[in-house]
Amino acid sequence: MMAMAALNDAMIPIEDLSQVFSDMTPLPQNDGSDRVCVIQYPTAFALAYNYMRAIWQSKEMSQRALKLTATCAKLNPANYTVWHYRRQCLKDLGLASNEDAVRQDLALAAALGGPNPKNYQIWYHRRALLETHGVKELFCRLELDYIKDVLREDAKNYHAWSYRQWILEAVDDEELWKEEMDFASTLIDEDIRNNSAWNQRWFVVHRGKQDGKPLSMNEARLEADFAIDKGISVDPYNESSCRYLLSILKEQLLEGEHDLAKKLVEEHEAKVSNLRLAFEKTNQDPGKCVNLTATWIDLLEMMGDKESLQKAVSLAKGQATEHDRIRTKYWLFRAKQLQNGIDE
Amino acid sequence: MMSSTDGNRNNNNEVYSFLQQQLQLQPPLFRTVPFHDNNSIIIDTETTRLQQETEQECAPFFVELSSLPPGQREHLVQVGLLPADDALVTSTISESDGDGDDMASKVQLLRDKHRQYLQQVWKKKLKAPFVSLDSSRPWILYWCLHGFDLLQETTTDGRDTPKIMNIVSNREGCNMVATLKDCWQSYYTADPPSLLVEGNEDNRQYKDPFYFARHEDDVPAADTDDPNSRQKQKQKQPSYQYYCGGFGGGPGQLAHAATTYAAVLALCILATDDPNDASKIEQDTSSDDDDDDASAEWTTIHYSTLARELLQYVRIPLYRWMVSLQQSHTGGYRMHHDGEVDVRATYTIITCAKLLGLLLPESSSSPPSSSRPVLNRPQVINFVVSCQTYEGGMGGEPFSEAHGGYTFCGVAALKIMDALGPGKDGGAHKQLDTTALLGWLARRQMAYEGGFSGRSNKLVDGCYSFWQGAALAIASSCGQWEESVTYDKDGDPWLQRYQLSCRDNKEFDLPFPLFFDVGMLERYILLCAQEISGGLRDKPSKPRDFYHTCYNLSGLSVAQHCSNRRVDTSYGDAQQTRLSPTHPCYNIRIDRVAAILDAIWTTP
Repeated sequence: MMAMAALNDAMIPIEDLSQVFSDMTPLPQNDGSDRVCVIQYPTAFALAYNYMRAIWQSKEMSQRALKLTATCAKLNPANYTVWHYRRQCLKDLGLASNEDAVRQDLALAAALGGPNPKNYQIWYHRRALLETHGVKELFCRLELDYIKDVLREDAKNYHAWSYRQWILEAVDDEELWKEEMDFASTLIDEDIRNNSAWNQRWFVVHRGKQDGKPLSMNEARLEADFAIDKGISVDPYNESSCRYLLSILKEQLLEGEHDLAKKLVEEHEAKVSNLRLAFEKTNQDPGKCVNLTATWIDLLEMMGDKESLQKAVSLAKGQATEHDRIRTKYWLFRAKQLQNGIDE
Repeated sequence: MMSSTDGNRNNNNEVYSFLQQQLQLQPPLFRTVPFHDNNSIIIDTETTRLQQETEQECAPFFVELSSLPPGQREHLVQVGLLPADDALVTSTISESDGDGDDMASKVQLLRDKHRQYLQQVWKKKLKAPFVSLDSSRPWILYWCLHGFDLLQETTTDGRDTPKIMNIVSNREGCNMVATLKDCWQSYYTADPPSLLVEGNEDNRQYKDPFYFARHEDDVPAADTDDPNSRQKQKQKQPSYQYYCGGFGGGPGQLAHAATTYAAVLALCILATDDPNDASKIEQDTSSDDDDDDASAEWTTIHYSTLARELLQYVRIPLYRWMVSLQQSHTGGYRMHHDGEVDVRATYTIITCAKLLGLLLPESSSSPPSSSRPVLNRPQVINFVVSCQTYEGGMGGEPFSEAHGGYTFCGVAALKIMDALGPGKDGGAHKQLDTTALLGWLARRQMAYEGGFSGRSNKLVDGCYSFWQGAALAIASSCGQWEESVTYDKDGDPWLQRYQLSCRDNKEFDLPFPLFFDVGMLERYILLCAQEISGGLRDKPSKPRDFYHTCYNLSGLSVAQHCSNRRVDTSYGDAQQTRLSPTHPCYNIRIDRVAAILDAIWTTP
């Protein structure tokens, strides 16, 4: 993280503004009684932004303009025009390809973002800097570590995960993919219901490529087994592992070798069916585990034979009428869909 | 209204009667005890802890109203959540029949308090902490104006076409237009995208119906009529300068797709009010101030005219700017020049384009080429579809986690581009898996709380009442429709229903069900999301804000108007809580959408 002193160096203190920009006329904004959604800006804010507007109008790209963008970004980190202008200054000053300058700006963004940034502009600034400079080895490591720190604060920070995906895709290094698989697994260990971690697993196992090529049968088997053994068996109430399993299998059915896929589906249908028995053995109603039933329904549908489909219809009706009544209409629709599948 | 004369065409006709039969067998769903069964906690993680906390914070609001002692009921009457002068409410008996709650149908929407809360953004100044929204001022205006619009009083229960008053006074409306005008950020370009131009310098073919329209603020190249001077001209004179622009978050800020969307929607609301409506004139004449000079614009021109003029002025430059944001290799759009790409940009841009008459229908006969309209090309549709994840919902970019906000953007954009709907198969683009989408959306409704979460294993939040609710309304329109001679499968069903009810002066039902539990959502919004002092919120532990007020109300409107009285049980006082109908794709009032889409734009 950027030290306080370094952050201050990057900005112009408010009390120095009029001196640093003594040659410019600050540009005020019309916030009179004939405007709406008017904000009562603190004096410092108004002053800094009056100079920022003057700079934008003059199109001056300089060190002082660069520093002013830092001052203004601190006052409102969501001002995307400030960040955009900052990047233009960096380019104009020849700093966009300078490793030290980029490193400093990444630190600045981190300092302004705090431990769990949920601000589009701050995350995008990192990405824009590296899109220009390139995500070379050094930055790749730094960024992955930074994102890890943020995820430690909030393991589901959406911006953090999107950005992380971009880094991995941009670098596309096999070692990194393997490390990322471990990272996702660790997060699943820590919180089996962390859907972002499951989503990341899907991303990694597909190497971030949407070229229509399914996983190999071996990979699919590994993933399906992981989903059942490390996911559903541990916590059958968890939607994340259920959807993961179903999608791995569905992908094989639609895009892989059909017969092998069918076999894989059958194996896992049996496993899920057994899990339900485990409930009964402990005197619990497996119907209460809505996720497990929903999973079984989808698996039975994938099996495709008449008996399986009939079972699925009956289970879907059970969800509709008894176990998952907030989704009654959806389940009745599903039952009808499945029934139509039998009738055809 | 149902034309069910063909007894043998059972599949389509049974959609509603089948549901009706089944649902009649069910006792009411509104349980009051924490309902952990469907989400049983057999492990202990951060996710399960947060979920339990959330259920616990909602539980006090779900207490069965009939079982409350009279003193507590009186308190609810005082704050406005229950009606005064109601025999059942004031009865001294507190009893629960354990089977639902008779008082559910008495729960009120704090209409006046919410209106007071929203209108402060145009009646007063916002305090200093609002600097964090200094780049979102068109949003603030849209959230409050639209929320206010939904709360408009109508004089009917839907039987007649309601005559709704103008939304604000003329001065207020003019101030709003002026504020948005300040946010207009323009620039010039001499280079139209190569996508739109064929041929070489001397023989250019301009292939776009809008880009090359002449705008009053374009700067023509000097003197190109004289063939003799053309040689000299090429070196010295600039070429034709195209005037482009968009709306930023505030004066002087870069044009941005999201703030443009908010500004255009706000202008559409203002533009579709009635210049002859004098209902709010008292508000203008009674206000105190210094703008008494006769030159004040608001005394002579109505804001709806100003809004329409501004929309007319910006539409071609907006088109040019939107085109400049498109990433031709991926079909995505940037949010602003050199900005981030994600599906929000697609939605906000496509919506503005459609409302401003810039989105031409796809021509199925011509192959993709530079002659196609730029905005809804197959690549654009493919990009959106590629954002669908294995879970069935959509993320911001391909492979990003399925998320309610982005799912709404993707689904609504596809619907507006006419790439979603019954029988919309084939064509040059990839197909969305609508079954998977519907499943993911349906699973986002929380079994206990009744509201929606944004992602799997995350918490309920009132704003998802709209993002997920509207996405569900749209997804619901993708399945089978009831056989009907009144609805055209190729059109916008919500607009059609509005047009039908205007024509026949009665209420029609949509030809497909709404695939979420309407009453449970309404219950969450009315009991957990309302703040007693006005405004609505994410969940009880969070403070109110304009964004959550807008989207809770928008979700409530979807629940009320996209549902079906034959199969859906509502929660709350149906008449007292009734909002204006919002369009699930655009999120402004349907009658306003109809008026704007009918507008005649002049393309010079």
